[in-house]
Amino acid sequence: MMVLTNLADDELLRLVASGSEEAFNVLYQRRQGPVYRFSLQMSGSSSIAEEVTQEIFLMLLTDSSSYDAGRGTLASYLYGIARRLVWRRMAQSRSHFPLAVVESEDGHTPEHLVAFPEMERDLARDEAVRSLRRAILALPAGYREAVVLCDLHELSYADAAQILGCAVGTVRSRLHRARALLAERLAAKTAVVGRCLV
Amino acid sequence: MNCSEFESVVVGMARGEVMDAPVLQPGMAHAAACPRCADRLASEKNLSEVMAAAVAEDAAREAPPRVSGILAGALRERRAAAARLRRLWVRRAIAGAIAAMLLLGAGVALRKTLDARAARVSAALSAAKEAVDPVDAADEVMTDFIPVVYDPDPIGHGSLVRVELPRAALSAFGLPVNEDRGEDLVQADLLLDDDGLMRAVRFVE
Repeated sequence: MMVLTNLADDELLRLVASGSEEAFNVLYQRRQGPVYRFSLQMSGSSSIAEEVTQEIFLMLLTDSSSYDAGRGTLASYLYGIARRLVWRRMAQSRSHFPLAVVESEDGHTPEHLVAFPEMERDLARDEAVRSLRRAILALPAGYREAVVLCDLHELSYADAAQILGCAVGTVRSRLHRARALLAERLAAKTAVVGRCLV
Repeated sequence: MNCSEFESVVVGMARGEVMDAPVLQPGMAHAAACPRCADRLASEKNLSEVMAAAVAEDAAREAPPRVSGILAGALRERRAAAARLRRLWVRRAIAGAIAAMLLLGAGVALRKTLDARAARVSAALSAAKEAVDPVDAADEVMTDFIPVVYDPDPIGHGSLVRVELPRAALSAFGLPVNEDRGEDLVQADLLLDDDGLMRAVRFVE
């Protein structure tokens, strides 16, 4: 296991194809987090994120031949599949309401916490993060993908462009427009929260 | 740098992207001089901070153990399927080896049996020739003795009986027959063993 953790994704995948369960476990531990988070951030649904993660790794387990190392990294490949599966799942369950799933809190501020400045600041930040998540989920698909990949997953424009199958300039402009929308909504929300806390 | 040019670099500045000094410095200078663009930069920086908080919060998010449990089940199933396949191949290999050995053994046994039969028939016919009266045989044209029944034991004693058969009987032994003369009689010597069993026949002309 110590040796396997040092192997690159491609090498691990080759071992998985030849039947190595240890290689699969290492690959899963390494890549499940980003795949799950991406699916969750895109859909706002933990059940969709679970299903997508499960399906992707089952696919790797049973047939990894569709991955071509010459066309990009395994990470990009997994993001690409996750993206397609998430959209498919979301299209299948139009009735799904994503905003309530990301955070389980009810959003109300306990009154006894408001008096403490540190907690107040944390609360404001938490509220801002919640607002950001809602705002991201409300973005048009292309903008949402750009924000999730470039800002939440901190991928380069080039990597994001490869995953999305578009030009780098397109990613850059989508991200720019998406951030402008998010900043606008966040500023409005912050102003409301600020008024509530005063 | 004007406000429009600033708008094209503000996201990069807020995200902390690596920027060339000839771009970054005029951008900072413009933000210092333009309150609207300063607000825009502050807003973008605030978004980046909240984004960073979201990233930090998400860093611990992973697929629930349920997923790894399902995958572990799939791994077990794959392992079992591979074992089944291995067992199947081993069984096939063993069955193939046994079949090959049986075929080989049967072939050898058949070959031995055929060789032995050929030797016994040859010996039986030689003995039959010796049993024939040589004087009579010298005056007549006759076929070789044709074995009628298979008997691996060479004939030791016997007797020769001259009979007449319809010429058509020749065809039963693979000899050519003129159909126009099928009713005619032809002489034949029957070689009988001590039990009276006909062992061979020859046709005489």
